[in-house]
Amino acid sequence: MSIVRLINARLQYENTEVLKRINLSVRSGEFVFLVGPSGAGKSSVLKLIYMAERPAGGQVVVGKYSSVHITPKDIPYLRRQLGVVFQDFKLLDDRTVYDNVAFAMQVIGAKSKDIKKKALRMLANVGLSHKRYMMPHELSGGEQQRVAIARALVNEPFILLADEPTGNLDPVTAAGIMDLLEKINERGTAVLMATHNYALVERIGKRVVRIEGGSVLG
Amino acid sequence: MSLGFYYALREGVDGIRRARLASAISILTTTIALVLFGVFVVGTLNVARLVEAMRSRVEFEVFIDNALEDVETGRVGREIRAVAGVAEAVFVSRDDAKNIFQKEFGDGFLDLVENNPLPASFRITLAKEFQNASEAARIAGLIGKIDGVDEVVYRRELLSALDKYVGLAVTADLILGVVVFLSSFALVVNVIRLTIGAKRRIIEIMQLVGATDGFVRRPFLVQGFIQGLLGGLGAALVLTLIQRFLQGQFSGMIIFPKHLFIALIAGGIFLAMTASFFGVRRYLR
Repeated sequence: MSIVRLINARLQYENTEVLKRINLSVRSGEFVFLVGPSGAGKSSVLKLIYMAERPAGGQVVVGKYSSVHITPKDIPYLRRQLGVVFQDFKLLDDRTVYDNVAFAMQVIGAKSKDIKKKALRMLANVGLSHKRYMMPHELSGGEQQRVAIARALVNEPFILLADEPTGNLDPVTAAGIMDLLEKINERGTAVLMATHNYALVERIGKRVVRIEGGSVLG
Repeated sequence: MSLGFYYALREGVDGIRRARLASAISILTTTIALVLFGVFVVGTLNVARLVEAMRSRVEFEVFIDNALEDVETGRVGREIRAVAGVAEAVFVSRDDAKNIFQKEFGDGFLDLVENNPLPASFRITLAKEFQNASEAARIAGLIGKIDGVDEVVYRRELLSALDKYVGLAVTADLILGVVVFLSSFALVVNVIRLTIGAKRRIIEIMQLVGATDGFVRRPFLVQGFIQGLLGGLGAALVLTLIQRFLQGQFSGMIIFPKHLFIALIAGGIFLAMTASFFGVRRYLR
């Protein structure tokens, strides 16, 4: 069953067409790589999925939400069903590792007892329980990305969107992050990862969607 | 109270603690804006009071015919009091006039003349709404026509000048008031907007993990409330010091409105919360 579908989705910034009639679907529990050179439109595809951008044409369907019918008020509720991680981690520098993860649950109004239990479990899953009182700047890049992944997963999304998550990491650390993403996928969370690191993609051997010049190839 | 409320309260307070300098600048700006506005209000009020006091001091002296009998004098008094706009008419007899004259100028001059040359008069004050040049002229005209009245004297030029300059001053004051209000408002809105702009990363992350607009906005409104409250208290403190200083210099002459300090605090809260509301809204779109 498809949990994310882009049907002839087009994206335009002013007069420039960034995405041209993109068709893409991700099934429940699937691991999909979105590959292509820089500027090909990979991040734009992800933005359409978490609806930071609305398509100029076509349709984007994520779970029960469609870009045709969704209202601005629905978007936070859509995002609670997605996890998103970025190349630059997007952690809050002014709070601890634990608070960064707990934050995602506070935002959705979870009970403090549940927040504590799940945030600690998630930090254990990414191997960072012992660093929960540290500040992000005290961690290595790989550790920061693990915190970001823990935050993205703490609300149990059905899909994790990863935009170049290894882009800022050395090969060994990147491999560690990939192992973590595979482990997450094995537990049933779909993963859609945008990357231009072809070596990484070949090593893992999952479904690959190639995108170039705003169109899906093949 | 919901968990969201406590979260907003804690985040709001933490937000101020985490960005101490930016918060201090916002509070200081709110204080400066409110002090400016407070000084303007106090200034306007006191100038208005001064003008009113000057107007109320304008009296009519209505001199009556020396040959008038007591009965006739009584009639003139009644007719004067019947004129619309006359608040009070006090009779000053010839003897009273002599006493007043002697008190002011000494005995010498009146000793030179055999009879008391001073006429009896009525000293008239006008009702508040009639204390302007055109009403005064109308009333003077009506009184002048009363049988037995010799002459009506009052400070016509003072009233004319007051009418002319007060009109100008009110217009200038209104313009100044609008400018002070708008610039204070713009100052606070822009400073708070800048401090919120520095937190746009937090806002972006909150939105990414699924925070509703209300959830993102609430901690900023709490911050706005606290900053406005502190800014208002600061302004109240500064104006209290100004009030003490002025009372020392011109005892009791400068009046501060009764509820000014409460209004300043409420104004600070309103100003900073409004600024926070619009500051965040910019990043929610």
